[in-house]
Amino acid sequence: MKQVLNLRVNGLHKQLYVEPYWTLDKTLREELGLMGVKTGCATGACGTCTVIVDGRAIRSCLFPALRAEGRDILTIEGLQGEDGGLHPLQQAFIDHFAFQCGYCTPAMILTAKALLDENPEATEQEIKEYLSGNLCRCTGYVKIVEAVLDARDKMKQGSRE
Amino acid sequence: MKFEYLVPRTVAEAIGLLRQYGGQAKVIAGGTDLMSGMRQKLTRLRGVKYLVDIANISGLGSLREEQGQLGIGALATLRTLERSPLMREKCSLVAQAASQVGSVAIRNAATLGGNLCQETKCLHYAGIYRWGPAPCYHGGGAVCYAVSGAGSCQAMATNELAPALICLDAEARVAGSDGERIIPMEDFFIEPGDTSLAANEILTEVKFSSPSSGRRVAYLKHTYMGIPGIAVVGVAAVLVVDGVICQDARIAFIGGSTKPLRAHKAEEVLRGDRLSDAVISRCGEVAAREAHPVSDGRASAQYRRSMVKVLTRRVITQAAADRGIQG
Repeated sequence: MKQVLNLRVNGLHKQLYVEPYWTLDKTLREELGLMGVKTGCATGACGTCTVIVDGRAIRSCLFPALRAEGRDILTIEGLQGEDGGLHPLQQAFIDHFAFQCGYCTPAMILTAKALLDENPEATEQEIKEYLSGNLCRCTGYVKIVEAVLDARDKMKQGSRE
Repeated sequence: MKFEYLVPRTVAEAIGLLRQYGGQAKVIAGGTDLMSGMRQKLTRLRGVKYLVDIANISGLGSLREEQGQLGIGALATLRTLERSPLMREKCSLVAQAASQVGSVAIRNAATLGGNLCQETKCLHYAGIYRWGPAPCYHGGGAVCYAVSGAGSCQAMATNELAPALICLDAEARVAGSDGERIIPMEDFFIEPGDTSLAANEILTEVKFSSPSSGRRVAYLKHTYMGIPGIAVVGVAAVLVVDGVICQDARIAFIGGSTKPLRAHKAEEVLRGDRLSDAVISRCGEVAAREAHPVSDGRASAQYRRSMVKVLTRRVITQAAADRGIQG
């Protein structure tokens, strides 16, 4: 039987009716149409379902939907820069052509955001380690790391101005 | 995958639910192990109709230090253990082991309790070689697809926090219908994927004496091709060194036997001796002889045994160079 779920998604309060066995990825995609949340391996290995829950990167495919009660969820659809345009990470991914097919991109950007929020000074090695749980089957990792380094520098400059 | 989702607010309420629903109920903490197992329809999880979410029980995730004892709540996430100033300062061994599990997003959810109570990661039960016509021993059948002719489940232990906790002489606090009991970490594991927890018991905390000054620690893990993932072998060591003589040692490993194992004989090699290259080398060889590995698709028995030797050597060398806790 469906149950009520109250949560915030991308800054907006949502009330949904979900089956107790649904996971968060399915709920975000099918109830809210947020197709930037991808379901890849569905067992936590590939990282493409990553969303930000209360500021932390989480695998939404392993996260029971009802566990999201009262939580704050950020998906790629809700990510934006301070001026309402693209977030520096999104712009950097474009500038560095850090995607080919794009399937892993939303989760790459969100995971990188969680890292830079936690550690604005992250080194290249720290970026590689943090993103090691996100697979890119086009193997475009070099450009992805370059994009995150660039976004890191621009975000540091932005916060200084 | 269908289940009812139950959210108890107290340990007593959770135990009541486990008793009420018996084998149809399963505890969910971080969910990284259980949910992927449910998704893969693992044989042991097919009858699960109720998930008992213990994440909302207050106090089960806290880290505390009281009267010389460190306590880690069963719900503490591995990311918390990795970053906690208390753990990094007082017990870097636990922080080191936690930091090497999975990826950040997994460690943000995965808990200490879940790591200790995890399902076996044997590729013939829960992985790509799951092709057998009948369930294996682990799924209640009478065959092992990893080791032909074996009389029981031969899955190698992969509980990455276990070697560190065994080396720290940790104890598990377990709550059940009849109150609380304490289980030494070495006795906590029984068979692959099985702990000494009864069906209606919950692991609430792991505690151990706050490491004293001069204790030196290290944990090393080896994975398939060296990429982040499930441990092929992991070895932890705690050394007490007085001047140049090793007074006491604890060595424990995973990946070399069906449960996390303490290497008693290898420890004996170090006790009362200088930590010379020759002694460390002999210690590794003895540890390798204490392992009973099998070939299971993730690594061959011979390779696992060799890696127990190599990692034991490296972990002792690294621990010997550890500054230990100052003061």
